[in-house]
Formats: sequence, C-alpha cells, structure tokens
Amino acid sequence: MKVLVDWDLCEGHGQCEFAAPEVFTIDDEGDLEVLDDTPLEGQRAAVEQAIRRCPTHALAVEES
Amino acid sequence: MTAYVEGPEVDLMDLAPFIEGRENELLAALREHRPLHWNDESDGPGFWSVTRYDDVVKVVSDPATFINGDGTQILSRKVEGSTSTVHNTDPPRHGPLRKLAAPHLRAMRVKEWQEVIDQCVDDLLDDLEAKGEVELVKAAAALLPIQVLGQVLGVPREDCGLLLDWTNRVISDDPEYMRGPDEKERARNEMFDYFKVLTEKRREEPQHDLVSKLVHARLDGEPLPWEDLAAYYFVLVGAGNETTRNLITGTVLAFEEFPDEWERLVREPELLGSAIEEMLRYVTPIRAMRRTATADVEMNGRTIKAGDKVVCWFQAANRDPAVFEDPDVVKIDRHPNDHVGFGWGIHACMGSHLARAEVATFFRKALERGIRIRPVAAPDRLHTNQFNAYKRLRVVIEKEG
Repeated sequence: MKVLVDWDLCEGHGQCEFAAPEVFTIDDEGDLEVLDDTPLEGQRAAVEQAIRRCPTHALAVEES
Repeated sequence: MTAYVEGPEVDLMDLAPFIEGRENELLAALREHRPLHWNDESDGPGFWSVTRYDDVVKVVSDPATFINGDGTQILSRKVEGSTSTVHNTDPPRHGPLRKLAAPHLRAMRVKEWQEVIDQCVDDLLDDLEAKGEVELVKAAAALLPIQVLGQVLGVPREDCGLLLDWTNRVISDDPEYMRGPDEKERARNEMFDYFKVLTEKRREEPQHDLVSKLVHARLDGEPLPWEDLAAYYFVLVGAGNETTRNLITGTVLAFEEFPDEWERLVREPELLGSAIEEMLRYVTPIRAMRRTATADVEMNGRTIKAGDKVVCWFQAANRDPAVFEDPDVVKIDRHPNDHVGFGWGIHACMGSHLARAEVATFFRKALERGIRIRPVAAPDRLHTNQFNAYKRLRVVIEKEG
C-alpha cells in the first residue's frame, strides 16, 4: 500500500501521528511528515484508523 | 423507523438526572427513539440533541455547516467572554491558530514532559498511601492535571492552586463555586491579570514552555495580540483541568463497578493503554459540545434550520450499540475502540496526548505499587449537564498483597 497525502487539505492536526506513529509524524512547526509512505501490511489497521480520524480528509492509500 | 413523539418528557436542561448519575438511561432513550431531539430552553432558543455515533461524527466532521464560532456550551453564551478561543474559531483561521500550540502538545512532545508527570504522580501517590483514606478529587485527581499543565505552560508550582480556583469558577455554574452573579467575569479577569504578568516575563526571557511559544509565535507574520493570547491561555487552562481530573475519578468509579476488569489489569498491565481508551469511552468527561448550523440540514427525517443550536452528545455516541458491543460494559481490551471521548474532527482535543499520559501514569504507578483506590461513598457530581464531573469522591487506598 502507498500512503497519499493531499497537502492542500492537511492542517497538521496530528490525529494520524497518534493512530500510526511509525508512518506519520508532526514536526515542531506543526507540519506533517510521512515517515514511511509504503508501510508494511502490519501497519494497515493503524493507517486505516489514521485515514478515518483525519479531520480534513487529507489521507488515502493506494493499493500497489 | 421509529415514529417521533414530541413532548417535554425528556428535558436535558433538567440537571437532576445528571447529578444523580441517571443520564445514560435518558440519552439511550433519545438515541433509540428520537435521535434528533428538540429541547426547549426556558431562557434560550432551544437546541437539537444528536445522540447517535454516526450523526455526531457527521456533525463534527462538517465545520462549514456546523460552526463553533457561536459558542460550544449548550447555553447560548461563551465562558471565555468576548475573546475568541481556538475552540470557538472556525476555518479558515482555526487551522493556523491551532498550529501555534498543537505541535507542542503532540504525542512525541509529551514524552518530554513524562519526567514531570512521573514526579507529580509519585508525590500524589506517596501522599495517598500515607493518608490511607482521602477525598480523591481534592487530594489527587484535580492536582495532577493542574500541576502538569502548570509546568507545560510555565506557571510555577506554587501558583497552580490559583489556576484550579479560576477554572472551577469559570467553567461550571455549580452554586458551590459561585460567590456572586459576576463570578465568571471576576475569575476571568483575575486569570488574565496573572497571565499578563507571565506574558511580559516570557516576552523578555523565553523559557521552554508553552507561554513562551505563544508569546513569540506569529500568525500571518504578526505576533498574537493580547486578546488572542489570553484566549489561548484560557482554553488551555480550562480544557486541561475540567477533563483529566474527571477521567481519573471516573476511572476509579468504573473499576469499582467492574472489579474483574481491575483484576485483569493487575494481571495484564500491558492492557493499560487500551484500558485508558475504554475509560475515555465509558466515562466521557466531556459529555457534549455544541455547534450552530449555518444552513438548513435534513437529518433523521427532520430539518435543522440555519441558526439552530445543535448539541452533539459524545456520551451517547460512546455508548451507541450500533458501534460498540455491550456499550454499558467496561472491557479494558476493547478493540477497535474509535470512541469520541476527545471529540472528533478539527476541534478534537488538542491536549489528548497529555491527558492520556497523565492518566496512564497515575494508574501505571498505582499498579506498580500494588495499591488499589476504592470508593467508600457515592460521588458528589458537579451540577452541570455538559461535563461528567465530580466534586468529591471519598476513597480508601488498599495495598494489594
């Protein structure tokens, strides 16, 4: 799976960081950084929670 | 589809069920039979109540149609007075304003405060163990969040009692904390006077604290004016206090109600993280937040009119059987658990990571010490329908052998 971020929508709320800390992090300026844009299958539940929780609907995955 | 029966029989402005701890029955009845419920107000325009999980998430996920700018209290007023907090700010200003503080409260940053949290919890538990029997809210539950928040903000520990007093007087309408009709305004002004001094100190000499970050922050290239700073301090102090203390107290009560779950946690302390999430769901320290509709919206076959107040009952959503199996039962290993205990959407709690860390540390250290905190009397609940809040809970500290 490939993680996609719509950077026009992301406001750095950081819900994704809580849901999937190995995939997403927020830097000190409050901006999102994707740590791993092709996470392993074991991260799927966490990534799906991050997508569901994103308040601005900025996240998606693309199946490879 | 259940037929709607209009009538005065469920009045969520009647505080009696909330004070007596019967509110979940009422909310369940609404969720099942009248998921969009109109409630008259004796001194206000009335409001809609939304109680189903999917509906609550829908409302709070649509900040264009359901705004915070007209207030988030059920009553038509803003506790923060005329200043506009990040919580009562709508997009497009909301995102950049939130970004000024949010990065400093995020999950990874909270780890830097862990030592402070550990120290506070150790001191409190030492005290509890020494006394053996205490009133939990005063002795620990109210102190932990205020002491931690004080250090995060940069307020010296000896002044934390002031923060607590201001919060009590500003947030609730409980007659116990109200010394006069203008009490909220007086408490607000005292708090703002205090923070004005702290702001000037940090402007000249920044420290590693949140007040320093906000004082030196820029929004659209400009420093925040005093009104915005004051609003920020206000929301951080209020939200940091009237919540975590109730999660701690509520958790003690919930484990007394479900003792097998405590026993299981003793055996399997690795479940602490999911146990805290379960308590956020089951306790729901903030029962409800209000929005205001900006357009006519159809929901559950009825029409919310533009300008109507819409109250989202997180407490009811968190016990929606359509989402949570056995919703009235505590299961410390519940999974998944997409509760709305911290709200949902762009206004979801900014301090959630700090709150989780505080409560997890409190119970982790209690487990490590082999102590169990048990209520010996029913709690005194705060006179409010918006917060699941406790004024007093008498407890004994039992040492487990």
